[in-house]
Amino acid sequence: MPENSERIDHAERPDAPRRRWGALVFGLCLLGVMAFYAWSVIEVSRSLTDYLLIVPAAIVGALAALWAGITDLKPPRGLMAIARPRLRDEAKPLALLVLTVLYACAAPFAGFDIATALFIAGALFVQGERTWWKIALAALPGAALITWAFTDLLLVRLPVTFL
Amino acid sequence: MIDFTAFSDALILLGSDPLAWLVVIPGLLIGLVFGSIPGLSISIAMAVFLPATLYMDFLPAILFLTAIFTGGGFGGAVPAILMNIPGTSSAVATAFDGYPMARKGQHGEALGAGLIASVVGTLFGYVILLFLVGPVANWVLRLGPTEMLVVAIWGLLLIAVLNDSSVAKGLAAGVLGILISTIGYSDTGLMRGTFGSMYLIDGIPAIPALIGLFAASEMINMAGRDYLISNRDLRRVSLKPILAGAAATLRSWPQVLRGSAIGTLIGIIPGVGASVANLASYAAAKNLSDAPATFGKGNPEGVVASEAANSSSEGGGMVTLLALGLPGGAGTAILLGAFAMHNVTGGPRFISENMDIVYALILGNIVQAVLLLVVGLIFVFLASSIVKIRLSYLIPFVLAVSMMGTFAITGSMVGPLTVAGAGALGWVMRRYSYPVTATVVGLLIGPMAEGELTRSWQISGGDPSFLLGRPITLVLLATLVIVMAILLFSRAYGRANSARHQA
Repeated sequence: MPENSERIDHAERPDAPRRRWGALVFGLCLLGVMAFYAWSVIEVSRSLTDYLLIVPAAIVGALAALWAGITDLKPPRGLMAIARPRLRDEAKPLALLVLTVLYACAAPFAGFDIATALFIAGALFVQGERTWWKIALAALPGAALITWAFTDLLLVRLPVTFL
Repeated sequence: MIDFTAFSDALILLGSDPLAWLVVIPGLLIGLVFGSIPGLSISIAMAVFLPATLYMDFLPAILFLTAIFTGGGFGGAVPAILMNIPGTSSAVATAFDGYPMARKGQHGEALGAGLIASVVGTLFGYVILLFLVGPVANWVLRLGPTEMLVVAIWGLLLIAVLNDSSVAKGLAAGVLGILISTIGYSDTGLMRGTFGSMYLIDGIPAIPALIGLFAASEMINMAGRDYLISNRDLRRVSLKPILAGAAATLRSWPQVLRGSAIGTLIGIIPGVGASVANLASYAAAKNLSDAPATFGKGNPEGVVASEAANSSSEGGGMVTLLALGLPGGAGTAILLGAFAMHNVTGGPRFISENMDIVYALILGNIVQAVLLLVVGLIFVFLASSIVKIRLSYLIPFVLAVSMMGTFAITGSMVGPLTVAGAGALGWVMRRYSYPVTATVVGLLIGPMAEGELTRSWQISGGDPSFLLGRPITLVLLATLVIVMAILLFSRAYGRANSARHQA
């Protein structure tokens, strides 16, 4: 019993303000990407017009990203602290994100018909649907209908396996 | 300003050709459907149906294509409002407030407001075209690369500053968009940022990136929620709120006319078009509003500003198409193709020799705008049923349609991979409160900005004193500096004020 109440206390206690290291890392990533891109363009450029926009823009963007990352480092206060999502609340979006990337990568090999059916089934499962016939009913005819509409109605030459 | 003999000839021409009217409603429906499917666009619809006009006479052919143009102009607003997916790049700003309105259960009002703004905007654009098609041709030729560059900087800076996050994040996000837009072969034939990949030679495709940043990231973010609108009572599908939104828009006619005027003016400038017009009009509406803080949170004025501007820019674009033979955007470029198919060349000579046909085209488009009201009303009523669908089912289907739609645009896996990549980037940006809108704007205006900067540099030889001989550029630059100073000052003042209140 004491163990249980301790767990409840811990769950209900608001998290202590934490520094947003993730924001700084993202800001630094943006800075790195912009600097790397500008450098790669300068290396291959033949005249000033090749990087006339890119270099000044990259300098402004990189400095802005660095400043944004540094200012974001301080812990959020007030409503911002309450509204801030915690990583465990983002498990479903993260899983769906991974699934979307896998879908885009798998479609050329598996064909849009199969990849779409698997994606719809996977996305429904990730979002909490557990009734297998509902998943099957949405995934199979759903994927077939969309693929048919694109390939036969709109005459888009999608890579497909069966349709 | 109006040649009345040619005007009456135009009425006779329209009355004697029933086909010119028979093609209008199918054209509007095609435009609405293509505009509202994420990944497809007005230009795709016009390109797909261009061969169908081969056996038509010139007038019905152009009216059919402009009906697709008109329908598609509003069609893009439907997914922008209901799913935060701008069906076309011209509906980007519609999503800023349309989607928050939908989340609050005001989807009917937003769709009604967008429809009326679109109809009035189209009417406005073509009425202006009727009066200005002759005189404006000379004025447009005065805008050079330096003026266009300042217009591009205006667009980006306003969006970077006018966001709910910090200016630094707005700038970083906007610049990121610009840099992404420069990937691929440059105008001078240099390969940039492709890292040897054949798929990146043409650069990152803008529409798939836009769909990824806006739609995919939002759909991914919504995973785990039940419905688009949390409150069950607000998930209603009825004609009443659509009509209420339409009526409210008519009452706020000054905003509609302002958006329409901005759209027409920007539409007249070649190469800019509806994708910039909607953003500029939105920024102006937010800037001039008594409650700018409500923008981005479901203010119907934002929807009205965007839709009025993107629709009126069609008429503006037709000014340069007819008067100079220059297309203002992708849609008018396809119209130019249709002109060529019928052995017609736009320009001052075409206008002077065929004024009756020019007037017939304008009058036909004015009637199309009125018909859009009826066809669009039925269409938005059917489309608003989407709020009753569970998100867990809606999300995978929308993502799958977006993936296939972007494959249709690019013809390769670059489209779907761009959607996935941009979706992931957009999700991380949203997590750390970076405005994805600024990235999208940077992406859209980046090529124009680079082209105009290069041309300005080449013409001036890098000498800044060249600007002293460009009075329009100087006026635009001075206005930009003043507006930025006011915006930054009011922002800093507002922040200090709220900090004082919290203390």
